[in-house]
Amino acid sequence: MTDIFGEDVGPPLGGVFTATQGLKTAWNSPLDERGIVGAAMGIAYAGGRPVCEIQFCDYGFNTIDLLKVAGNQRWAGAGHYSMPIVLMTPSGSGIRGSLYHSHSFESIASRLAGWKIVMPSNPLDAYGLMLSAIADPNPVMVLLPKALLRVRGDKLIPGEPEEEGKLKELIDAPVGDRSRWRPRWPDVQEHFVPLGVGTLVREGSHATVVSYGRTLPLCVQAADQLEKENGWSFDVIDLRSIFPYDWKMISASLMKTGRILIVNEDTEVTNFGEHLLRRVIDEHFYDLLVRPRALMGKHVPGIGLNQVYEKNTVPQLPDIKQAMHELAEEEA
Amino acid sequence: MARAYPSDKIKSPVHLSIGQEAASVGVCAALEPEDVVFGTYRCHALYLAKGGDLKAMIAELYGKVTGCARGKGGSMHLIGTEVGMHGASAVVGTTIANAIGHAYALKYQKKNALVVSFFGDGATEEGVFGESLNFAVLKQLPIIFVCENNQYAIHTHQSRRQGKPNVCARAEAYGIPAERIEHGDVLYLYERIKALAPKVRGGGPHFLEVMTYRWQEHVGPNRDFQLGYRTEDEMHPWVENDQVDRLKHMVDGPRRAKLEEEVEEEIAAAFAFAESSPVPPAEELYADIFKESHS
Repeated sequence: MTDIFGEDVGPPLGGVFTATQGLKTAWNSPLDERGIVGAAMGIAYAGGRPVCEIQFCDYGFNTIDLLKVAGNQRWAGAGHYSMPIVLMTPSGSGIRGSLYHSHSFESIASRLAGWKIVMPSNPLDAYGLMLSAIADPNPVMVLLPKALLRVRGDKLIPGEPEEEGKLKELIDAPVGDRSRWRPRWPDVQEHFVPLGVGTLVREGSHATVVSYGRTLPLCVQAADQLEKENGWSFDVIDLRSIFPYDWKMISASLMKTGRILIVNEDTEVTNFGEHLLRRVIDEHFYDLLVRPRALMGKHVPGIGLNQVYEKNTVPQLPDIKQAMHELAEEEA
Repeated sequence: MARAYPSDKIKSPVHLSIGQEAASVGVCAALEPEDVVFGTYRCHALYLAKGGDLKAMIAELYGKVTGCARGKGGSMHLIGTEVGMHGASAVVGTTIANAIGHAYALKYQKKNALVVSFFGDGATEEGVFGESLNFAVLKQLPIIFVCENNQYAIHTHQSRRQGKPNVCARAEAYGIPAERIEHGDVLYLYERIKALAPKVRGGGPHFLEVMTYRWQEHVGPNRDFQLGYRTEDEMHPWVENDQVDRLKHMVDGPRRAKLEEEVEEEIAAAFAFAESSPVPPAEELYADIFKESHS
């Protein structure tokens, strides 16, 4: 049993995206982001394994000093204690959230050494990564792509009812009076996705695409379309963990294809994808057939409300498809 | 706005001020044009009360380039620099620190203006609340803190978030004179600001806790009593005591009818303006990031 706390994560709402609805150990904290992260650390100091939530990762900017301390305490404490906290927070664009509900956080998070950072692209991985995060003795940040928070995955969680809509019926609170409502949890099995291990979602030979979170399913769609239209096949890697990341998988794929594109939606200046590019150049310069690429979010101060801003700021399917097209087409 | 929302032409999530207008109106009506306000993401009433342009506000909610934030911010981030209203973060409490900085500058520029910092009961749980009160007292700043206490941080009642739900006592503990205004009495609030303003302009913070009630859901155009975290009975006295209705009945019949007609026309014109305004062109994405330097 582990406490889950944050702004509005307990009853009646169960979180803005209802991700914690019906969980017995979820409770509402005061409206204080630094208090939430700080208290989680305190619980961990005392031997607990809390899960705390920052309602939107955009509010995490208010907690940076605590995140820094959480990452460095074991190291600075001669390894004498662990910091088994999980910080879950919705991340990225896709809900018309404008300035303060659309930010990405993984690049900033990747600079907090001592943290593990994961970002699933589907419900099964979200479940598996969350269980691994809770089991891990270190601080783990679980970044949940807002755009995917209410989607049903192709792969079901073990024990999840197969009939569409059935799960919703069992665990979604009614719109009306919910004071006496209790969830009926299906008998789901444990499923762990190891931290630091990517997965090859599509296997191909022409080029490698590395992504995670919201842009991952778009990369898969683009790969499927390009295979049909142009006969190019892609390795599409779902990185799943931002740190530690599966360099072995990237490296092996690149040795095969000699072409690589990294896709994410965080702002492009000092983006985590740029770190991957640096390693690609350092370690695989002579293996590359064409220049390596990254498609990322534009370096603007926020995502504007109007859809024109959002569409022009973070990669959309046509942008991704075009970048993959150019990557595969360029003459070696 | 609540009526227009289902059409999906309003592209922004909306945190409506309905029920909470008195705090903005009572305070701002007593201010001078050069006075400055900092607010929260629930800022429609404040923006209008401080003199913000209605057309630019509705256009902003539509995400149009004619909006007061050029369609970049939406409902939570209305900015009216020309009327002394600054933009808000979505993190509660952040603007309290901005407000004391502005007040500090006014004091040392020997300006006669004052700053009003609006925030909710939830914001008093953020660390920045205490940090800012301390600085305001230390420097005897020309600032009025207005805590709009609607009792709920989203769906969680104040008593479930605060060990001692007495905001004024906390302000007093920092050394700021504080008073609570029950029932959101708009006229009393106006009188209090009128009386306090000269003293505050000379330097020295003051704290008001204005009791109020949010009629609609936290975000969105509807009521939310079906969620079970609060009851309609709880809202009832606030509806009975509606300050908009109270002011309305203080205006005689023919004049009231004329006013209502004018306001309806103004609203219709603002919506028409928003609908006919263009969406932001692609190049607007990079507009206004930096001020050009001419060195």
